[in-house]
Amino acid sequence: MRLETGGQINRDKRITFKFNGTEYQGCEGDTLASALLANRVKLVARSFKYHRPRGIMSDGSQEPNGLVELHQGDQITPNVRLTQQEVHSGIDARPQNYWGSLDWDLLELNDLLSPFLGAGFYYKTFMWPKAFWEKLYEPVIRRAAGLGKLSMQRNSDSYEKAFAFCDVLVIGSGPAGIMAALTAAKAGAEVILCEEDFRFGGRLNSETHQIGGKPGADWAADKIVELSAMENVRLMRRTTVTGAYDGGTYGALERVAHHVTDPQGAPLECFWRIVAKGCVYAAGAMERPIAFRNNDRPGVMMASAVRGYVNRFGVAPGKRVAIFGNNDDAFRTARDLDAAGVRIAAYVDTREEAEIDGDFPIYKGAQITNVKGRKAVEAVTITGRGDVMADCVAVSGGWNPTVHLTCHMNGRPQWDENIVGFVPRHGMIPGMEVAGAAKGHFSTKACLQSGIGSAKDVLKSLGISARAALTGSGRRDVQDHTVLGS
Amino acid sequence: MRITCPICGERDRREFYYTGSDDYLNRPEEGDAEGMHRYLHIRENPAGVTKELWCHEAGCGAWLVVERNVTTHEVLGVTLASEVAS
Amino acid sequence: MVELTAKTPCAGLLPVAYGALTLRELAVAHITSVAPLKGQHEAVSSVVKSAVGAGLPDPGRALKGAKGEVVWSGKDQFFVLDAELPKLNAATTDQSDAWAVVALEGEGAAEVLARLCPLDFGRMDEGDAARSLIGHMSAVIIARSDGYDLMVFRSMAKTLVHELSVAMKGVASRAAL
Repeated sequence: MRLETGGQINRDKRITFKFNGTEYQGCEGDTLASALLANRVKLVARSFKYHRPRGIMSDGSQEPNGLVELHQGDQITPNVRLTQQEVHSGIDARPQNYWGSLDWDLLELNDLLSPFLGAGFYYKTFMWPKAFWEKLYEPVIRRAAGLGKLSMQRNSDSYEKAFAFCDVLVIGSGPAGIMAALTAAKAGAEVILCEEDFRFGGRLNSETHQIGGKPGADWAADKIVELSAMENVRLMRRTTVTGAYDGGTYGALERVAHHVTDPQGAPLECFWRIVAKGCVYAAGAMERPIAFRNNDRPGVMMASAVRGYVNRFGVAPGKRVAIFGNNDDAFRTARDLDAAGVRIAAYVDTREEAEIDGDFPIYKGAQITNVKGRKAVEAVTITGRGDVMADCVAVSGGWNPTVHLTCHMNGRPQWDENIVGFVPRHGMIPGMEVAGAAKGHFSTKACLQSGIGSAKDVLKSLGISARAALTGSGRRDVQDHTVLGS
Repeated sequence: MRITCPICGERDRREFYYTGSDDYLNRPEEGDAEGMHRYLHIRENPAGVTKELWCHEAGCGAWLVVERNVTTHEVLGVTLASEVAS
Repeated sequence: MVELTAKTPCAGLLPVAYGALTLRELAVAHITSVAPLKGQHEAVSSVVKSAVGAGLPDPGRALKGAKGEVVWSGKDQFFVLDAELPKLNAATTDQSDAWAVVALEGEGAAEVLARLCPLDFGRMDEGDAARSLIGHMSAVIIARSDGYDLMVFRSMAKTLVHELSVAMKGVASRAAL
């Protein structure tokens, strides 16, 4: 449901798109996920094996459910995340994993039979007679399981690959990444700033924090303007850094033209090999879910995503939201929903001693143990209270630093008792410093400081003084590796 | 992987071609059958620092002795093979 | 007697243009590879200098003279373009017509090459020369004021033009997005 105000979307610019054969309207600045939620579409996919109904769960690249197929014929692109794809008028998105229709999936029978379909059921049962495997069982099972399918034709789209070089690669453009990029750029280093989203700013776009007296999203936008004016800075949005390799080489996938209806000859994607002398990794953190019965029902979402949709897209994912958390961060969701006028049906905190205050029902030392409703959340079961009507559950189990990329060269992260999560060790990737939430710093102030500190550490290792003045072009030769002479 | 060619500077590994251990630089005397056998067939295979011959095939064409750690992939030094051999 | 018609390597393929980017063929009268014999570098350099107007450059450089250009083309090896050479104390081979020579020019030329070649073009200044790869082709690359001169083996002219055209189209279309 679209809210009257708020969000970084343009309500005056309406965009019509198709999902599952039906036309919907979104706004400029929407992802498919936010536009579908604005249209109250909850059921977007079916689970792999049991074909259970699934809805949008997150607001980023971590989305496990909202995967769709785009385009036609030889250009079919499977497994596009609703949470990453920008809305444009050419979109005809199709859900992937159903048989019959998304709403009445015939294979939902698997779910009802699930007590009898134990692990390895397929492999143990469908072995005899032998000829049946190839002709009958396998095609049927393949149809029932697995993600989207390929067109099996020669793709007529163009894709390219390219090389790029820099002194400092900054991965992630949240508060830590922006400060790291600014610090390095002002010192004269050549900087590449990669952001996975189409909008720079990271979580600042989805939260209501103030920085320097203005909303975090506006602060980020201002800093990006400042960076884009510097000749020694290359801003790369819609670009996911996918790998860290020997000698400071990083792989990065840029989605060049997936956001437009007509690419006009431009490649859809570009795979970059970025060679960086140093790197600041500021990829943030991901919220943890909490396990409870039927926690995969459409409407059960991450708490950070629920407030992300409210704050960034002006969309309320539900009319009556139940919040379930085990940490203080969950309260931000309550505060932001309250401010946006979204009704909070219940606030459930596992901690007896939690300090929560608000004009909504609060259950401390309680848990959500079940969700009622099949294709959408209808009610939640709260210990000591019973069933409470709700159409959306915001779940917050704390945050995990996004350590993935730091582990690419055989390093092992270490357990941090304070955040109850893994954080990167120093030196897991040679030349890389980790900053911000990726390092376990979860406050905005700590992220800003950590971004500056990490950039200074990288600059120091490259022999650049963080206070060095800019030379004329903004470029500065750091270490000339070219050895000339006969 | 990046290798710093003494002539061309730091370059991407795809410009280089790996041609084996630097043992190849020490050819035995003619008639030394045992030496020739060792030269052709016997190699150390340490999990650590090795010296290897690489050719900057797509660059200046120079033959290089590259010292690197095969467990960390760290390149420790690069010298022109012509300088090592002479 | 059979009458043969001389064709340049990129005849019928060039010029092409995409947006502000252009690719055209360069006519080079002679290409001679010069590899000075051991200890003869200085002597060869002074003979080349009197013949071309430029001596043998440092590695990674190209020097222009009144009658031609001397380009570093590998370890202890140089290409002399256009000018004809007297007898030298060097291993010389006539490589005229063996190379396809093209000029990639216009804003974004470095971005085009970044799609095909693993070199850091931000560090190449006018008059710098490098040996590297363009796609899978061994190439000589010379930085100019408005772009790059590129040389690959003549037999690969068609591939060179194709690869560069695709990259140019991508870069030009991207600018329009």
